Amino acid sequence: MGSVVISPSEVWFAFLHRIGLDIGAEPSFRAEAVLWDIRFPRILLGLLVGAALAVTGAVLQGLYRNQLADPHLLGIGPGAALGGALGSISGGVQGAIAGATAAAIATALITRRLGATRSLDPSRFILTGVALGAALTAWVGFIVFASDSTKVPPIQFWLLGSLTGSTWRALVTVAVIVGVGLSGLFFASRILDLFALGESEARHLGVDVDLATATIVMAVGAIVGATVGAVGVVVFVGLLVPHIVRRFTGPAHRPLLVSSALGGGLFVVLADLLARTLADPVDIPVGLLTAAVGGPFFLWLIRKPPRGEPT
Amino acid sequence: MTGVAARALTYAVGNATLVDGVDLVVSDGEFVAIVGPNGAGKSTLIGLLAGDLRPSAGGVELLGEDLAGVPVGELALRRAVLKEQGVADIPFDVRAVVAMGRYPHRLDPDNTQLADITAVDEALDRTSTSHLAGRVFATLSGGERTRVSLARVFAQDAPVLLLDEPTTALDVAHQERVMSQMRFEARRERAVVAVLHDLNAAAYYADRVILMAEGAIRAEGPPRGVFVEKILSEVYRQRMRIIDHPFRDCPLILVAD
Repeated sequence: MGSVVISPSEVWFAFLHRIGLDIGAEPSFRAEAVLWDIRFPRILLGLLVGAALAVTGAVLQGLYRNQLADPHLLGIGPGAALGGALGSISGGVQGAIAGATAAAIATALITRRLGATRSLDPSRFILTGVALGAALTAWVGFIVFASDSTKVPPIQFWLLGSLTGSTWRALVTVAVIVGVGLSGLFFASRILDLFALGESEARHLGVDVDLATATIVMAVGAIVGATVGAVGVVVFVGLLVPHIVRRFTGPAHRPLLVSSALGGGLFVVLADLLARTLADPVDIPVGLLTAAVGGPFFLWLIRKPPRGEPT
Repeated sequence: MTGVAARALTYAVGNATLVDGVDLVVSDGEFVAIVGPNGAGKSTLIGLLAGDLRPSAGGVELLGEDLAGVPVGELALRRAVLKEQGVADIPFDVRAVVAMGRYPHRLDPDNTQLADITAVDEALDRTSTSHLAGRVFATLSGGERTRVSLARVFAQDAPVLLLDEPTTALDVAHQERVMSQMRFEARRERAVVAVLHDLNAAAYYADRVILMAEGAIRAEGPPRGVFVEKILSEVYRQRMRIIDHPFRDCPLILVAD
């Protein structure tokens, strides 16, 4: 499926051919190039991005005990986009990833400070993130319009996210950052469970709350930043996927994070498949599709009565 | 041996001194009730003893060691804390919540999975919450939540227990049960400190009573020494009468007209 038609058997033979097995029909040069240089990295990057966003969403929801928490709604995504746009001026895709990662860590730490303000109720915390995100997005716009369009990706890339143009090099960089970050978060899953009791209760049970929060938040920042640098802001994955997955796994973070990673990867790859084929041969930004599904879901979520209260 | 001790403990915010030069020693084997009117500084004192708040002056010793120098993970093996108002909307089921009380024991090389399970079962049983084990915490009533949180504290199995209003929202029968469980904790060589509002429960169950007013200790000693008409009437600004309990060996505190 996609702008270039390749049959399933061609996919298989191209894969075998690449790993050195010359079995079956020799794949056409064109099919192999499309598959190997465009489709495979694109699918793998989609899996990574989806896993990254879904897991960080679940982690933020647990950490802040806030059902509406999501890396992009909290402003971490827009912060990363700003860093990514700045980074791409001088360093191309790798520069974008580096800049986005650094900026996302900084933004994540800022949201932690905002979230630490006790008087802030859950919805106002999210609104603070949305406001922060809007301001940061404006700066992304300024930078994009003020710089050389051959170097800095256009504004719709940053705001809507797109897997078009995924490369192996970008994939490897993202895989390293996301891989390290996600392993760290899986390792922290029991601590995240304890946060459900409240911060002081977690401390009473021996968790160094400040250290744990800072570490988790920085890991979230790095993971989100790497994905934004590579593919822009793909919205609502972090909100949508953990909420669906939680229905099957329950609240414990170990199964929740593992399943969110799988579910998120699948969700983004499927959304991207639609993005490539819906308006063939035009590539729709994948973030448009996740937003189309996620927006209404978000509305439903804020209208839903909170847990424990009668419906 | 000393469970928890405070020297000249003071906590001030702005120009308000919430806890003012409190000295106290609670040995293991002792059940001490802290009583006093609203705003007397009882919860702040528990917060200081637990290490949640940093004292403005003075210090706290846990098992003979300065609290400020004990790492947070080790602290959890020494003291368990029940806060007055905990989080209500916990999405975990009751058994999982109580099992979280075992988290500190991951640092204990002698701890086993069997010990964890036994401790959780026992804690559920002692707070009459075994039948709630599969229920989601967020769906419980106020009194049930208090008992489950107390079960979590029991499961933590620490030598010092700091409890802020452990009988909140409990009916009479459950209050009696919880009070005797706290005394039982003291009998097995734990140091138990509990903030209580029910003076009669304190009078019957506690070994010693600390009466606080305006951040300081106003009176301290066995229930019969502290629960005196003159002192109570003054501290609570309410006329009180005290008679001998008709069938329990303790004073009975009554509100006078």
